[in-house]
Amino acid sequence: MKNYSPNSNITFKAVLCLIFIMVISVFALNMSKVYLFNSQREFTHFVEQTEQLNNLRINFVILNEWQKRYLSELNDKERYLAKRKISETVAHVKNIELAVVNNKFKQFNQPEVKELIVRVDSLIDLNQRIVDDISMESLDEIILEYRSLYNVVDYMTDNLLKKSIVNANRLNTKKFLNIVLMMFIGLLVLFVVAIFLLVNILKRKKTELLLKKTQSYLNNVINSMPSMLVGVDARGCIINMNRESEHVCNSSSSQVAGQSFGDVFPELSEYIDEIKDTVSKRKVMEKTKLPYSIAGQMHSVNLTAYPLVTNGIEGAVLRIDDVTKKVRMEEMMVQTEKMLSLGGLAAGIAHEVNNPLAAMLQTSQVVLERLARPDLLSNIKAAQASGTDMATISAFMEDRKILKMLKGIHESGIRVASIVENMLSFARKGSENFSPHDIKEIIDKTLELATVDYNVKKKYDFRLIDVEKEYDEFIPLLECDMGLLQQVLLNIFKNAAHALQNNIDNVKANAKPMIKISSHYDVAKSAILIQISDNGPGMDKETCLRLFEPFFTTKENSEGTGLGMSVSYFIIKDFHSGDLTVESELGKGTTFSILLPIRRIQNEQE
Amino acid sequence: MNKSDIKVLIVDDEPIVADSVECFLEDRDWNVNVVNSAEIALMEKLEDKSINICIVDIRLGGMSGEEFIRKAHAMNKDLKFLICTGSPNYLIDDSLHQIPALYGTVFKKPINDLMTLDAALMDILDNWQ
Repeated sequence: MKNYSPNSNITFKAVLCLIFIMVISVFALNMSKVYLFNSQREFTHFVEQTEQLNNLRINFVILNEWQKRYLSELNDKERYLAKRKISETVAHVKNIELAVVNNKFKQFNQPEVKELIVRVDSLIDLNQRIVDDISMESLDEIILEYRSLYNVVDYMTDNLLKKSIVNANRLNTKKFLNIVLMMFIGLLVLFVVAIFLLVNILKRKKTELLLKKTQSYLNNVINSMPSMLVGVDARGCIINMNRESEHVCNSSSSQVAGQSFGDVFPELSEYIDEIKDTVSKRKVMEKTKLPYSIAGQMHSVNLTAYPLVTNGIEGAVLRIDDVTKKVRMEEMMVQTEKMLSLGGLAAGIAHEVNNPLAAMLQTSQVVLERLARPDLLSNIKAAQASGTDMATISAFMEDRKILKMLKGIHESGIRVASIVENMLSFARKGSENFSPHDIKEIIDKTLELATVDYNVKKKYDFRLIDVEKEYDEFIPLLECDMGLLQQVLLNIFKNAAHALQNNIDNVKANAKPMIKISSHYDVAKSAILIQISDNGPGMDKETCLRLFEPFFTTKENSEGTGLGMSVSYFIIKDFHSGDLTVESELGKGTTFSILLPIRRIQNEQE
Repeated sequence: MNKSDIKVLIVDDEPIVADSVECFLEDRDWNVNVVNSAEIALMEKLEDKSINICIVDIRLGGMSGEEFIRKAHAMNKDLKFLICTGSPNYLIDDSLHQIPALYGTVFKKPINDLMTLDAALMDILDNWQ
């Protein structure tokens, strides 16, 4: 911004003026004239006109009878003043070239007059004269004589000259006065102008300050915006952009100024023509959910172009909003919606599913009973009636692995039941099924399930993961809902396996993928602490914090619902009055801790 | 009372489910009958008051299990009831709570382990007045 310095300008002008004034004054003060005064009146007139006696050289003094006469005509006060004027005048006479003094005038009782007369007396040699009782005629003679010697200006007799002289005199005086006045006015004007300018400058400074403040405020506002704001001209070249844009582009506003928008934001380059249209047609353009990668991660952005016409500059303001979270939220809403409708659907069809399932499950159990229970009397009887015995049947069953298959059917049925059950957990609450269980057994069973689960999916092989178990020798039975607890454990195992995927893929580079499960009985708390650790890549703090949030997932949408951990948390916290916590360090691994009170703590509300 | 003195009636419109329970209980020496509707049960099976325990499904083709319990209870105050339903959210209706002959635990189909049902019957038997 240009730096104004009107202050120094003003000072300079003022100094210039002062110098000018001084030069004029010097000229004015050096004006010297030779006047002939024929009467005191003339002289007083002159004195009154000039009022600058102190600086005048009076070269010619005639003090004559008329003065006395003149004085005698006056009253006492006037006389005194006139006398004072005369003596003042005389006192100021500096270079006397001619003095005509009436002797009678010598009686004038003023010391200055006396002094003058003394001075005049001593100047006789220098062609000066003292005239006693000079007659008018002789005075005229002297004057004439003097005139031939000097260019004396007759103050009064030369009418033509008189006027001009008086005028000139007046003029000079006036001029001087005028100059002084003008100067004064000039100075005043200058002062006023200076004040005005100063006030103006102050005002401008103030405005500037306000402007700067406003500008910085606006800049702050614009820069604080989480949106990217980019100003472009009619050709689609960047004029400037805010901090968020700089942050995303990794280059400063000045660096990209003048570059095409499409070059700086290559992923949005296809909209450059539409942006130009925005400017030419003055229509707002809006594009939503455009894919845009920021720091290597895919984001969704909304691009809005607002036409801008200010001071003839054509262009547009582009707003790019990162709507990833919003889009994700929308997807979550859809997911939630889906889950809820799934819950509703599950509740609706559960009865229909449960009946055939009951038929399968219960019948398979009966079949198992009838084939594998040699002690049952009805079995023995039936075997005998068929001409065989239970031992033979058992041997056959064992050989053909029929019992195992039947058990498989039975267990699979149970799993179907638990899937229906889990789907229903979104539609129902408070129907948990508590009974005492051995936690070690639950863990082992869940591990088995996990192995089967991953074998089926073939995405990660659980068998490649070392599972290390560390159980306390004595752990009392735990009152819990085994199905729900299994759901939690399975979920944690799944997450661990997912985290270890990286280790599985790079067995050589990393430590062997490992899951460590420990179960410890805390006598003091009368609770069981289960810890599940993996040596995967771990999670950052934010992920740890958000882990139990519903619909929070680090997996791709197709892989996880983002519900697993939140449901687990719900199961442990609400159903079992326990605690589920997570500790993780990037690069080291993750540990889940489940604390379960061995006795069920009934929720007072239920 | 002895197990052999007890007559159990299964009221379930799903024959295979009813049969699986029947078979299982028969193998454990219970005297079991099956009907596939509440109406038939009321008309044919409860007339002579020989039935002691009814295992009742709730969602039946015609008359609901709850109505059946109320009516059967009116016919025979000694009759015990045990609910076994496929509705996952089922809670015992308030009007049925007043019937002391109703077993507290509701069995949900599928019954993963039928032994729990056997245990419940034994429990009823043990607490026979």
